[in-house]
Amino acid sequence: MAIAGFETAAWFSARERESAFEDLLRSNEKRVLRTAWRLLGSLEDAKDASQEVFLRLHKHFERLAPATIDAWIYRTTVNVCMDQHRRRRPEGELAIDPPAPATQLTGLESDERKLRLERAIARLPEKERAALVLREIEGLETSRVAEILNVTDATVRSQVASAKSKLKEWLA
Amino acid sequence: MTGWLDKSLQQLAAEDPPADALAEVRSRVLDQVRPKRRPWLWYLVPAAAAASLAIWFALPRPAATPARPTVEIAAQAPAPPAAVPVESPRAEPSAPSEPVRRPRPAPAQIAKVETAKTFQPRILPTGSPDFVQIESGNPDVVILWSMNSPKISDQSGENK
Repeated sequence: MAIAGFETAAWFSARERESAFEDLLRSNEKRVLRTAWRLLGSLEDAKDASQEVFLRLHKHFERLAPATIDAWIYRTTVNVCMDQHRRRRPEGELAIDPPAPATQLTGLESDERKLRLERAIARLPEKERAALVLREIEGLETSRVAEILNVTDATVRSQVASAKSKLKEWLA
Repeated sequence: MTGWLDKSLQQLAAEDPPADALAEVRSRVLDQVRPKRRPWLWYLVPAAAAASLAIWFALPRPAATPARPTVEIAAQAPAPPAAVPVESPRAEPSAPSEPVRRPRPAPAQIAKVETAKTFQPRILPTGSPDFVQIESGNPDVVILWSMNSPKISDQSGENK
């Protein structure tokens, strides 16, 4: 996936550096916040996690090869969300936002069903939740998810299958 | 059931975060990473420059260096050899007279001359009653004053 505004990891002047980072921020903010939102279940927590991801990106982006920035961003998002989840809620319970207005849920049968799905995703083990979110919600290829999570493709398939099986069971 | 789950997951994926949440994250990040702008610096720089100028003008300045007394030293020409009381060798060939040295200048005058880095000529004995040597400022130049002739000879060939 190409990243707009970032063609090379060469040395930047201060102004060019800020401009390049702002381009990176704008081209990635939606998926970072969406991923964090789905991993944490709370938009407020997702904002904090996204902020942390982009601050880390600002510190490191000049040393990252352009081809690896995507994976780095997803991996950092998953790690930050998991760290934040453990730090804020050691009991393992995620704060699920109240259902959004029905106008935003064009395809779901009801707000209640969406809320049940989010709660069910929040109950999943960390690794299964990360694999499910990246594979089924972000729509990444299995090999890409495996690269991000630093596991094999088979592990990703297994985790996604396990997560779906649990969701089916809990939502039945 | 599986179809419903996949569809629901896809619809979750299609739901983007609210625009205000994105703007808030962007604003928080950029606020932290952008270099802090300090508009007061634009006032501080000219104020500091003005203060420096004021201090520079207010400071007492050292008095101007007095001019070196080059003109005064140049006016002290070598004393005329007529002042030296040397008798003619023809009058008394058997008794060569000793050259009379000019009285040395006072220490204050020496200091003044040395400070001005100028030369004070002296008359030196040559061993011959016919000539006296006048010291020049140039060590390569020797001035011999013939007691029989008013002509000044320069051994180095330079005209004085």
